[in-house]
Amino acid sequence: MIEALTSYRREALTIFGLTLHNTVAYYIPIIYMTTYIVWVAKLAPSSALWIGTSCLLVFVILIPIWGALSDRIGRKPLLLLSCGGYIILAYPLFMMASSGSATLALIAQMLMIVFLSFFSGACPAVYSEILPTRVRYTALSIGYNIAVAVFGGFAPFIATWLIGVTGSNLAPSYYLIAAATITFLVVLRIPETAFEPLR
Amino acid sequence: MTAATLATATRADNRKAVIAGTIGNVLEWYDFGVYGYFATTMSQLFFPGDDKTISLLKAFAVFGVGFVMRPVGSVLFGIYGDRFGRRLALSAVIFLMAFSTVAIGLLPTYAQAGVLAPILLVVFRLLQGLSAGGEWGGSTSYIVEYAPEGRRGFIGSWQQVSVGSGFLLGSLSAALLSSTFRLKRSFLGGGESRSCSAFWSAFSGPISAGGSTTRPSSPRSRSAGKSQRLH
Repeated sequence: MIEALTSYRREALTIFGLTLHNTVAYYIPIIYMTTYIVWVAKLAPSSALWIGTSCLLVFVILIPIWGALSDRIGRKPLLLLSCGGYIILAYPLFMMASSGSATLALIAQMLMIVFLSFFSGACPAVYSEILPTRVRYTALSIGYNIAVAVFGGFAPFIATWLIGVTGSNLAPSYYLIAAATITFLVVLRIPETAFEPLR
Repeated sequence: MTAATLATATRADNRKAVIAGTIGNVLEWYDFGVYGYFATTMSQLFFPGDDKTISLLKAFAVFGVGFVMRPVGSVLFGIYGDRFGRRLALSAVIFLMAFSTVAIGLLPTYAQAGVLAPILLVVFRLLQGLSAGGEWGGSTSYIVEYAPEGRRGFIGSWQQVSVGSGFLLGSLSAALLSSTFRLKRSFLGGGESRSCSAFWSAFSGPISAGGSTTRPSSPRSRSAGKSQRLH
């Protein structure tokens, strides 16, 4: 474990950086949007839950498609597309989600989920390829879980708090944009590992 | 284990590993995620108050508290999994999750037990987090290590499919319950749905744990446990 933390500090840090977007853009659309649509857009809880459920259905169908695509074109294009999409679209999508229209809320949440799915499809392979087998479980778990603990698990809390502090219903999008920007820069620095053997 | 036996791991073996890993994961993440879909309900049952935003913030804080234990779980189960194999570690992880989810489903509310109710909620949410922390890295390593060259992206993505399916199942059951019970606008789910999720966990826990004990250990982790320098 000490080896996992010292010799592979850089790798664990990279995993931390990759996980920022992966976890924030995960728990905001997947968990928080259901509450957001009820609280801000004033839709019925059952509508919000059915919107979320249909988005998740599309999510699990898309993931293996992008996973297979990442074996052909590489992991990095999909990771960059996911982060880039959030940087550009998070703000307008929150405008749509908060409008009060169920159709617009569905489209907004669906687009967030689609852009998340690019990352989700490629990320398990990327995480594993960065680390050698002997320390993979430990280093991957630590780097990933610390980022998730701080930024992902509290994403619904932070989003609720941001709205309270700024008074703007669109404030959660700033959080998404910040996380996506950092991870975008980290992805630019990692090697393409899709075509190398597992270490 | 030699490179040759690694290479001849059959396709059926691969598929079995992926399916076993996936099913265990679905139930694990259903248990962990379902809390999020009942956030509004939880805020009212465990943190009642005049300011609904404050109540919701408290409920989301407890959602986050589950994640705080994840690094601890990842260290505990990670070391165990790297040394003794992914299979045993993942079985323990799933038993722990099933136990704590059933416990949350059976907790008394603030109205029934006062401040003890949210305290117990935090305790069991922490245990859920301990389990979830052990699960993610383990199942990712486990599934990707089974993938043949050139297919790691596709095979590995099933780890994400399983996590997503767990949330899908959580969201779907919350949607069905909220439609069935025709609850008031401000009330997502309710006592009934919490009990239902507890009963579901009572069934899902043993099933997923049973599934995980039939998993073969991944070829790389078995050799990782024996040889000092594999890579």
